[in-house]
Amino acid sequence: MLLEGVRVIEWSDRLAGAFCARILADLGAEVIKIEPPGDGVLLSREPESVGTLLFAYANHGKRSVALDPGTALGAKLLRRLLDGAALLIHSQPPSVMADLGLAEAAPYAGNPALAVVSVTASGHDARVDTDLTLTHRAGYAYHQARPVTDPQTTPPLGGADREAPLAAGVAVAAAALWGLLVAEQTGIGPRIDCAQLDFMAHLLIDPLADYNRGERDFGRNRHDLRGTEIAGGLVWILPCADGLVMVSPREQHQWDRWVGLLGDPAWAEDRTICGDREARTEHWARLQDEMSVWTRVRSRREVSSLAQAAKVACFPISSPRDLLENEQLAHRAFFDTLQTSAGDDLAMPGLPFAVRTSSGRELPRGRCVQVPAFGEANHAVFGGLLAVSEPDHAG
Amino acid sequence: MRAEPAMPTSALAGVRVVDFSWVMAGPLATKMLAAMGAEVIKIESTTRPEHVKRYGWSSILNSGKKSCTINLAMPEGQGLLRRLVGMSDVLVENFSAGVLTKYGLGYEDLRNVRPDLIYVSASGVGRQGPQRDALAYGTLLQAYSGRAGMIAAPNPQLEAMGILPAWTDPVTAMWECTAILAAIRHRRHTGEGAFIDLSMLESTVALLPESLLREGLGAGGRAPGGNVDPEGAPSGCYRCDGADSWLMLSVRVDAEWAGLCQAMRRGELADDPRFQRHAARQENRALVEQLVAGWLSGVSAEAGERMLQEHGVPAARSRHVGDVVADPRFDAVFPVLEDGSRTIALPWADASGWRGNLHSAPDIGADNDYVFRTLLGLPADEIERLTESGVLR
Repeated sequence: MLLEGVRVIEWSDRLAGAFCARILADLGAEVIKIEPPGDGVLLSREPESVGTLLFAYANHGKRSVALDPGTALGAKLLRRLLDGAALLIHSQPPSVMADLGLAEAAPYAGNPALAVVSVTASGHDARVDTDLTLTHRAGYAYHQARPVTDPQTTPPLGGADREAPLAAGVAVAAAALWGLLVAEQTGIGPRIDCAQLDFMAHLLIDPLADYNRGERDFGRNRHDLRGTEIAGGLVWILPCADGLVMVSPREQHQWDRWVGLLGDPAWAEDRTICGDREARTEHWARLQDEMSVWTRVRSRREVSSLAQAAKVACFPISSPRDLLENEQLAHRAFFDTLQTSAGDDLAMPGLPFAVRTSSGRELPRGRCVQVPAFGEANHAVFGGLLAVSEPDHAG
Repeated sequence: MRAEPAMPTSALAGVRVVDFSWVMAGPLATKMLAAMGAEVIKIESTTRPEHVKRYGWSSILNSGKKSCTINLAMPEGQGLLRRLVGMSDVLVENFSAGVLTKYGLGYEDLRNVRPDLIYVSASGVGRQGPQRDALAYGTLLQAYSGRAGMIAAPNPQLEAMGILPAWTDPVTAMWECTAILAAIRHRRHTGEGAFIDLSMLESTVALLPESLLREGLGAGGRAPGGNVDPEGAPSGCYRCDGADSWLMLSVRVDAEWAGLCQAMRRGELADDPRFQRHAARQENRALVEQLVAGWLSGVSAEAGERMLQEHGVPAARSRHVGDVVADPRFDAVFPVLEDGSRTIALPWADASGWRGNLHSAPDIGADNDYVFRTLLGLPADEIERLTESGVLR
């Protein structure tokens, strides 16, 4: 809807590139995915593996064209596709792009308005990296395990699930839309470089603030970093009858309402342990024990809803099962549904925002999504769109 | 004929953004819009402590914006804001539920003033649904989204659970920026505005599909771990020689295994049937990881990284922000501003290396004269009266 009339060509074996193009498809663009013969390590099309489903997550809503731009005919067909496209999302080296007439400095002769987005691990430096080595190299992993009680035995932490390449993919989508706006204004599509390494470094907001304040040591030892911990004062983890919650009565008025909810127990009168945030931070362990007496006999749901009713921020610590059953997410139709070849319905996340235009049109949510079969659009794209005769694209 | 390169700064020229957002997600999104050429006007108030106190990251997140002070709890302030929105294109906010509606500044009020307004409302769990009034912080949402529990088993000290540094906030900003740019493109083609209801919870969960798919498929979850590379064996973050010295590596294919054996000077292991193929290495994961751990414990992280990279093995030592800033490769990522501080550029570059228009952050109210006199056309005595009566504070 928002990107009606925008044709995107995706030729990327990186998850960030594929996910960027899927977001653009969600927003209404027509996305044609170029798939050369042979599978990547991660995004395989093996039947019903987790890898297949990740492929589905990153590629639903696109059209698939089986095409090998490494052959003369494949390169010619790709150029024909690019002639009518607004955006190219790719993860190919500069030499391959130059062979296609897409050398770095000059606009694409066949279509100067084509915006070209290159998605790489770390630009074109001669290194090998994975999503996790990039996160450590960019500094994010180190700060994610800081402070800790024993830095000598507690490693820095890369992150969860596939979040690094997927988050980078969201940033690539923003970059691609910027390129589209520039191209539509000036008639010249920019060349854009998105390196996942740079993106991970962009997330170092709190650490860079510490750097700007003059900090240079950046040790991880909790003992040396007293006052910067978040446990207590800001946030507590509390046990409930059926799991854990996190609660954050950080402001004084929130703390007052929180202990009121707990029935104004006697310990809450002791100003030396909870008179202000500093005292609460210092005595976090004692307060944890005291508060647990109240939470331990209640469910996560009861604790978090009572706290929220008292205007105190509190949520359960979720498991994947909790999320699939989460009422808030269900009410907002956050999950799309994918039907597997076995006939099961699988939930997968959709876009994290709802859009309603001033004329009342809405981006669809809670969709039934489909994964394109390998090369399913060859006939339509080459026969219809490009008016290429059948023998030219057969095989 | 060779066309001239595009003028990158022009993308959002002429786009005015009224920015009510605070903390991190909204300000990072509007900072990116400012870097792309939009005029971003922060609405602040000296009556609000959270505006007066500039946190360490304020200067990073507010670079390139304007700031004016209006007390939006006062009816005259609300009237001025309605006029300002009438001459603006985008409004961004992340107040608690109902705050702006209470002041007559909700989407339904303002679309009458500006029918093609793009109104972006970001919140913890979304503006619709049974929990829409929930009070939320990014730290808590990192646990509510499931992320924290995937990274580590929860512990009362909240250590090494991925609670800090902020994750949910900056990734929400990436989604927010993407949604706004798409809405601007739609507006330029159709003249339509839009209401965008963005959830920080969903922004985080949308990046965790594998865990949800495994659960849905009954494939079994993974044990918590922040350095799990399912495609690698060996893989992990290994302790190296030296204080707090760590190296992340991952061996995904047989050629990388051969490279690792060479780096370790254990060439004979490359052909050992226990390790030669990926499937065998996964089966003997404990043994193979013990070999690597033994080798790296006697090698510095720098030397280990160099030797592994020379032999084509993905490896990187874990670095802190000081090391990263000192690496010349990141000079353009963390540029130095007029005031000497470092900020964070756009997460992409064009062919000329341009990464956004970046300038120092404004002091609170630094652009009052521009907003009240130049834009709203208020006479000096009226500005003085409104300032005295607390409206423009």
